[in-house]
Amino acid sequence: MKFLTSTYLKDIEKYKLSIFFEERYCITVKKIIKIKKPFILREENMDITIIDNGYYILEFMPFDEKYICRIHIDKNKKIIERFYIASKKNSIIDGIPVFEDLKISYVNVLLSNSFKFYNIEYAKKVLNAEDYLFAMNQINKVKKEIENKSNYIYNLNYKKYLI
Amino acid sequence: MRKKLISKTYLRDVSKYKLDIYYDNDEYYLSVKKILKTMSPFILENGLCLINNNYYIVEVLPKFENYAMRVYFNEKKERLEYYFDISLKNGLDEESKIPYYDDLYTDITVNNGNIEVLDEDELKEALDYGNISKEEYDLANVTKEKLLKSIKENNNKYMNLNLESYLK
Repeated sequence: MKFLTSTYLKDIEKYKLSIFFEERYCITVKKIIKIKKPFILREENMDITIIDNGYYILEFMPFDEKYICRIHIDKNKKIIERFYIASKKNSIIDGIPVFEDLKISYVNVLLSNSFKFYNIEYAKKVLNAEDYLFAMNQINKVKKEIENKSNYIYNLNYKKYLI
Repeated sequence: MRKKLISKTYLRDVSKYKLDIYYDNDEYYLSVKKILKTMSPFILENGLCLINNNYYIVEVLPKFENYAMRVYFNEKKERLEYYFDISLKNGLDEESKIPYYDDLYTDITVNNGNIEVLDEDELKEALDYGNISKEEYDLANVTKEKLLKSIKENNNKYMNLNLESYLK
């Protein structure tokens, strides 16, 4: 079980968390005020800063779907990456959005305008066959929605949540 | 003793809301709930409405005090009532990173200048039934007296915060 309120907070000393509860989904936004050192990923032969002072982490959790989406956004409110992560269950516990992580992700790196799957080999090892198949189906469904331009979060006006 | 996570408190009948939590102050955690849609307003016996659409609930959890302060605001951002919960401890829930307080039964309300102490019988009952120790009972009473003094003397630092600046 993962709490959206406690993800990606390593090295972060000061931040603001916002949770928007809508009828069919909820969105959490972490605005990073002070981090010890930037979090940098090596992607497509480029060093990409994912988390730094003034950056945002927006997470979208639909109640009637089996995935969550994490979006890393820079201080100019531009999207850096979108991570779609398969989940077994999305729910609210004690007013906190939580999901059961099924590891397999579909990632969109904006800088290179690329899409790729993450963690497939790892998921094969740690998930049972049923969960693995379920996760693959969910992520393939998201992939198709993005290709058809029908994915809700892909089309979302995310800037209105960055307040 | 009841552990109260601020993500959960005072949202009965509220179907749509926004919650902001600030983790940027060395002395306290602060949360703001903006009520966007409630099934029915929450109205006190004296007629004062504390929760309705576009109202706010601000909670301040001092890191080094034994109480939590809740302030209700109306849609005009006017302060309606202060509600203090005496607590054994305020902290951050390890798993969820949500601020919480361990409620020590006794409460104090400040409403239009009137100060009222509530649920002292619950505190005594908790002691009698062995739910809290004598030390915890004494802590609640000492905190209550200290808090009452700061309220009466108008020098409670959390009441004097510019909470309106957090109401977006």
